[in-house]
Amino acid sequence: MDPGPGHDASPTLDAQELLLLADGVRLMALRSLGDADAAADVVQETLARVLQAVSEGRPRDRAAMGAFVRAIARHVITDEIRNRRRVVRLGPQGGADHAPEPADEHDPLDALVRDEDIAAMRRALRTLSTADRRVIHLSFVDGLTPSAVAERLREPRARVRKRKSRALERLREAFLGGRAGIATGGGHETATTPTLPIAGGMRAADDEERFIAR
Amino acid sequence: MRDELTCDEADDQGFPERYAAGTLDDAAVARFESHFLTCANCQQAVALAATVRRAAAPRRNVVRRWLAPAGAVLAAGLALFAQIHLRAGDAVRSLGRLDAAPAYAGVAVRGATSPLDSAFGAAMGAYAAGHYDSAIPRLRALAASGAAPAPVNFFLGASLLMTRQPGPAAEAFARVIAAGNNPYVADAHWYRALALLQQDRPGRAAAELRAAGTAGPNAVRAADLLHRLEARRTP
Repeated sequence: MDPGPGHDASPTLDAQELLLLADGVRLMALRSLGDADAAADVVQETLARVLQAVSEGRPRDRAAMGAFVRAIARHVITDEIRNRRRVVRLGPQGGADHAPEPADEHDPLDALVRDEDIAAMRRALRTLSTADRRVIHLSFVDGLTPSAVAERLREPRARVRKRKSRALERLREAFLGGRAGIATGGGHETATTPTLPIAGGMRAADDEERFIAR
Repeated sequence: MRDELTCDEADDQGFPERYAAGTLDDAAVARFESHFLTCANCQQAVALAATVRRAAAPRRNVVRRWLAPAGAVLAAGLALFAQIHLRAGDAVRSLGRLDAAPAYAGVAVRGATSPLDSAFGAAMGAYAAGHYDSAIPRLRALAASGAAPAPVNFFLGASLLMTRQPGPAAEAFARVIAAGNNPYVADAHWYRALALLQQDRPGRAAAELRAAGTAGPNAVRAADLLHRLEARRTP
């Protein structure tokens, strides 16, 4: 692969892997920061550091890539949180008036969720039996462990697992159906036709020009 | 020793939904994050969990939070609306309004494709479908990799502009311009001017409009906008 201008050859990380890491780091950053713009900055900074490290031959163990990238992402997120605190302290009203909204008012992963997906999901939820819906609520809204859900419902764990699996399959269909053809977190489409980008109203600069290998 | 997680184990222990709900302990979070960074299925499971969570959760005190102070907010809003629309800054910002994104048309390339071509294709698939929020992180990842800075930053800037982020958009277009002689420069000046206007920076915007040149698809619009900007300066 020709990595194109601006960076050294790094055969250990291709673009699909890079995009997968980008989506993963975005999830981490969103969950920690609850802010899509800040999460995008974290993704950019993390990937820049990862690419630098990869070009230097790190991590040596390819299987450790997830943990390696996570460690970098955590550093970047921590820096972002520190920077925010500094900004709050310097604010004209002091820190208290600029405190972020309470956590229960805002779910940090909301940026992942599209309104049309919520509508489709609510429709799918209505098709579930009351018992199945209860399992979903305890698992997803209350965030209980499968054992705790089984205990709460006084049902064997195996039965609860089956309920959850069955209900989740229906919800997944609603979720993926609404996102067909759309890039989703972690789902990368591969372009079937390689393309050259053309800006608004402009003609192709050069049909021979490759997108990357210039 | 590395304690690697598998998808089956994550699923069995309810990691995606507990991660979304914030009820995993720190050690489990570390294991799960290390796993999903390289696992598309588990990333999708978290996105699904976040959506289920939103759909299944009780509406967030909408009545308490919004209806009770609605009267006061409405009155204040009407007053503000009148006041804001008289402000000169908003008049400038309105000049930078963008109704449609720069068109993207793919052209088949000859020879073998690289993974970065495919990555760009995936990002532009989202862009062309109008899913700018999905396109932005992908284009940002490509921009961070340093690949083809002109087209990547151009469409990143366009996506940011379409999602009302004029500051980062202006920066992305500046990177296109800084990349030197490339087919996107003239358009980058035009769209950067719009981004700057949206930030109420008419001086810098005028400079970009002049730089957009007298040729090209946006030359007439640039000249017209520049004329309107200068007319505003001269009462």
